[in-house]
Amino acid sequence: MRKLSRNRKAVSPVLSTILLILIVVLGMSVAFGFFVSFVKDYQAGRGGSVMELISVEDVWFKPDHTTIEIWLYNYGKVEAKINAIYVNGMQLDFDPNPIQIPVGKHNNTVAYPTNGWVNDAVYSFKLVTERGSAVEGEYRSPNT
Amino acid sequence: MLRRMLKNRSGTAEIVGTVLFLVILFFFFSNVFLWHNQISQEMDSLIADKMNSAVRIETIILSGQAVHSDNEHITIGAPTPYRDYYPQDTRNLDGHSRSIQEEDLGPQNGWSLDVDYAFATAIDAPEKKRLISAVRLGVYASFSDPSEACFVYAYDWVDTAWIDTRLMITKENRWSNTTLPFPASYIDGGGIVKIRIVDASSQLGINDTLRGTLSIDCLEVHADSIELDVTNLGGSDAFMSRLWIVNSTQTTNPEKDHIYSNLEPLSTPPGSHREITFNMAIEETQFNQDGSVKVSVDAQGAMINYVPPSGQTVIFRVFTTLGNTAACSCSFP
Repeated sequence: MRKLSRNRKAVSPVLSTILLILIVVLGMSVAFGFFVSFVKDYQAGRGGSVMELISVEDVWFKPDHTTIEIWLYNYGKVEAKINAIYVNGMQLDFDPNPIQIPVGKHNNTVAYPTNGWVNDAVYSFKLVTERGSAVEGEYRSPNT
Repeated sequence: MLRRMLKNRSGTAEIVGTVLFLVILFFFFSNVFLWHNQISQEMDSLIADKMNSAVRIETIILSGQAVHSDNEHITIGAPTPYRDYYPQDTRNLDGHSRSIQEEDLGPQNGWSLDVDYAFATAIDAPEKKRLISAVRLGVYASFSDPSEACFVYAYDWVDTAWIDTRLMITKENRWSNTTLPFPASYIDGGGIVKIRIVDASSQLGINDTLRGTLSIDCLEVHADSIELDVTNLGGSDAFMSRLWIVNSTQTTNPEKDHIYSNLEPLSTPPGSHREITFNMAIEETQFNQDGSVKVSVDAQGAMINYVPPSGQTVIFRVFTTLGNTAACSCSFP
């Protein structure tokens, strides 16, 4: 035993092997951690947009000529969050912002067109979710 | 050359290391590929289900219950045998008839007949009348005078005039049926429909020399209402989510121009129908606290507590849990 502890010849290879293992384990842990985090973000974000399916139930050009109420329904597999609404290419303010729509649920928001809306005109709507998927449609305002 | 390369052991560790590294890398990324493939398949399946459960909505006519008369008024004519009016005589097709003979009005007019019947329908409010699409009249009767027939008139409460229904009662016992246009005109504020039967000669100014007898076995009125019918056009079940009710023009109550009723969990199997009826026992639309229209749903369909506004075209749009939608419109007087 004493002979073994006094033998300095094999210290260097043992230390180097341990160091090598440590470096490899640490390196792989960092890589694995990064990868897990990346996958999680991907699945919750851009990758999850495949599971988003939203339908516009109703667009109501309200009689005050300044607001448009939009009803949405989420028939996808993940909760959707609408954080941008465009009408005829212009981004609108809307309330509540963002609109969260749980799976299988309805929700609504009121959008405020910059110059209000006019009778008997076609408006092109585009609603964009946080994950980047979009719902588009054209709706005609009432003529009276 | 090949033997030398095989015998060369230098670089083996690098090759083995690289292969291992690639395997580990592939193991990491294959998870993402597999996950993406799995959700893509799931979503494709969802879209396929959506495409396979398209629906159609349309307005149809719900046949109203037969209403019989309890009230007879003979202006010209005499019952034979002479007795009071028994409503059951004109209620069923059982061979027991109400018989009325023509009355002699003198040498200028001859034999004549004029008898009125009143029918008390349950359509006793303007809100109920809006939901009536047709008034149907059915007469099973005969008139024994071979030289003439009897005409049937209905009273128009709006124009305050008797309108010819084009029905004729002739010598042989038979059914005569007609549907009256503008049904709301033929039902008064209390739900009364009035029918008049007169002989043809008195209407045409011809001197009738033969005495005829009118025999009525059955006389009935139906107030047919409007209802919505949802058809599943696809091959898989369609689950209804909402019925949107949208007024096409602004009403006096604009905040209620876009309303909805929750239809869950009403399902429609492939190729079958579900009926959405209107509750005719109410005088105004009833709402839940969340703003939706009150509804009662069972396996066969739904009944919504909705009263359409007067003089409005209303768009009904059904919406399914898979995002399918269908619409129809209906004008209410």
